[in-house]
Amino acid sequence: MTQPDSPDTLQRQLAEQRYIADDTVATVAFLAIAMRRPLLIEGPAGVGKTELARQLAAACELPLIRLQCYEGLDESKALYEWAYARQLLYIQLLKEKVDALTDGATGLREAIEALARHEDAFFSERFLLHRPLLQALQTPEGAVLLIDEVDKSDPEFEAFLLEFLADFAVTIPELGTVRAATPPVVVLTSNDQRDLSDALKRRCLYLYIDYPAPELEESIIAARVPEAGESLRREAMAFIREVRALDLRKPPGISESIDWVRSLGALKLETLAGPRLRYTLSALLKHHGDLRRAIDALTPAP
Amino acid sequence: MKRLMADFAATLRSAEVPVSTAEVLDAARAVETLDPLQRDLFRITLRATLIKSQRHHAVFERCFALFFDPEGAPAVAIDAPAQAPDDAPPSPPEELERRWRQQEVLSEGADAAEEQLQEALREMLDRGDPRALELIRGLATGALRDVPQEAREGAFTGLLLLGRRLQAARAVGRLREALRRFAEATAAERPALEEDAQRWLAARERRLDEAEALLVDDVRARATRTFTAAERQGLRGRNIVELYLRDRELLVEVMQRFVRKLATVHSRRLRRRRRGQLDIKRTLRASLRTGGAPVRLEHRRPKRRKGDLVILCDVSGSVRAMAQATLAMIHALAGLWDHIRVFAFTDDVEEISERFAHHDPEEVLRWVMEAPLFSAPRPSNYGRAFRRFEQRYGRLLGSRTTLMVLGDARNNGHLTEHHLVEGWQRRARRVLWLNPEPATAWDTGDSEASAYRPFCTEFRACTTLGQLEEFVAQLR
Ligand SMILES: Nc1ncnc2c1ncn2[C@@H]1O[C@H](COP(=O)(O)OP(=O)(O)O)[C@@H](O)[C@H]1O
Ligand SMILES: [Mg+2]
Repeated sequence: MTQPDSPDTLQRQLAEQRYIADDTVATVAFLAIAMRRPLLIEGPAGVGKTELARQLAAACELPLIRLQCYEGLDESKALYEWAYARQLLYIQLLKEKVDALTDGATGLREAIEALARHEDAFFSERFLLHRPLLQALQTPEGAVLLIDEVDKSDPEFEAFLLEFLADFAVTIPELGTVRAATPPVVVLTSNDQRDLSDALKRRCLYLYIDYPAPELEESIIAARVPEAGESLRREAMAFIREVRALDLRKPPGISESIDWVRSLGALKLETLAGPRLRYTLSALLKHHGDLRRAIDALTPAP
Repeated sequence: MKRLMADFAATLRSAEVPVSTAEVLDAARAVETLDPLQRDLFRITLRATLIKSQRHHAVFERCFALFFDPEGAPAVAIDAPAQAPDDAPPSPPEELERRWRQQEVLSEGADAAEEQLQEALREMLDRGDPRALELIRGLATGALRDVPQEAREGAFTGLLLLGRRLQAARAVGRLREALRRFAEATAAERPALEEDAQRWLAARERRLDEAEALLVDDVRARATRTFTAAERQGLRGRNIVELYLRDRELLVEVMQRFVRKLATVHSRRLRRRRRGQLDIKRTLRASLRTGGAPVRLEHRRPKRRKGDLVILCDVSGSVRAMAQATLAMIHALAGLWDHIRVFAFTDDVEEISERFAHHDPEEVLRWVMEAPLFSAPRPSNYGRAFRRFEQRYGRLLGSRTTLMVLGDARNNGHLTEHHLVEGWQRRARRVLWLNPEPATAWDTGDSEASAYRPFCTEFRACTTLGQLEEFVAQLR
């Protein structure tokens, strides 16, 4: 891994990877890496939370391991699970061997005892499904562990995470304790749908990413869609501002802006003046009513 | 440094921002990781380590400015008479003194200012020289004569001041550590000196405490004064309508907090119930696919009948504020109901469920607080509005429906048509009425509270945020 030596270095490195981080983002991300503290990022959808984790991994030259959270996510999906079906399959295929093992046994108890002596074979790494959290512990050079959208998981899972983050070790009863050789850089994201527990927050550094200021958004677009010329970009930014000023159900976020400007490039439009503008807007607005409204208000009749 | 952080944390806590000791230690550690002389870096670092919710960012910025910015920092008169310390350190054996003088304290690479500071501190420690105390204070507040004039003005002062104060705090910390190490080493080498060394250490530590207190005291005093009882106590006791008229921003902020809290509590409540018992039949059926081995455990999905909610809100004049606040809170609890229908009325009804149902909580809040629910405000006519509601939507009320009316029952002298409410109570599961006026105002002027009240399962006053929160939290 390579560790940035200052927030500035990190900021430059991210910019080279075409991720535009303002001073706050660069500073807090730097601290998270330097102090090896989990980083909790909150903010509305589409402001680049997930992308930041990805780019941090690239900047540190570490693999990215991602755990996407959802309602009902539990340890078996996050940490590890025994490959039950596979174990059964092996038993089926090796039926004769199993029979042979229990051959001399006279009663049920004896048969079980005979089998138990071979339990190790079935509860070994071969039959272990490594889920993201376990993978993050077992990557020798360390990793960036992205725990995406924690707010979607259940409070019980949050409690489990807290434990995991405290010692970066897990105990698998059949195999023993797995401890991280190099603790991962952990990034948690939340769309802020509900409050996370105070205990979890206390363990983390906190970063809130808001919708970007116009200049920042313009640099993001310049970085992400370099093929769009400056004048088109300017025009597009002004247009997006007008769109956002409409009373919309879902105003376009950064990723929509990027997609849209990209589509303008693909259509080889050099200016927004013209009848084709309206056909591009579905990249910007994903809600039918919003699209109608923007077309009516902002585009010339065909 | 830790002391400075702890004091800053105390300021935050006095403004109702929760900060734990672990976080204070984190902040101190983080600051040492970075170049603290860059003011913004310093601010961002403190914020990331001490503040764990965006809702507290505004308060943080206020506290930070108070605590670390120079405006209003009282200039220190360098030549003011300083009090001589009354407990001069006990004269220790010669040997202790001699050893201490040889002790190196300053770290490598310290600049002139730091050296000066360190000198002053040591002076103060060793002789109890009051002038040294003043010097420290001067260094810490940027009021020293040797600070160049141009540096004292403009934005740079803040940086300089901050830097000085941090330097001073660091110097004190370093000295304290050196003292402790020294006392320990001495005791280890010469056990005979142990007791003296302890006493000697204690006296000096007291002096350091004094110096440190000087570094933060006046700023802290200023900061805590700003967040007195006024802000801390009783947002819950504040009158909704008054808040709405006087300080809408604050109301929105508080509502956001309430709404968020409700959403959190509520999501826990729902989750707890989600997983049902093991469903043996389905588990066995599923196991057929895996050769009879129950690879997959199936759970019974708990059936929940949640019921419907119909809300009728008076959006004329003064009721609006309460209606809006209530709607925002109910939205946070939308998951408790199968369907929610919302109707606004003045002298007619209009359904506004659609927007209510689709937006995320923050947006609904903004919408109900800012957008007019009805295009033109008209005086209310409960009788007429109720008639219209009965004609058009009366069929919505069934045995699983809760009907909630938000209104002050001020009817401008029109027909009350309370028999309609009587009928609703019979058909619906219950009728709840929230009145933004205190009970003492009921039936005064054109209020018809008593006409409707007998027909409501519950009819209660809801004037403060606290009452509203309580009501909504119990709603099921
Ligand atoms: N600061 C940024 N610099 C470059 N691209 C960005 C930035 N912020 C957002 N993006 C782009 O926006 C898109 C959405 O970002 P994403 O990380 O998925 O958002 P979030 O996780 O916050 O919902 C990504 O594809 C990314 O390319
Ligand atoms: Mg994301």
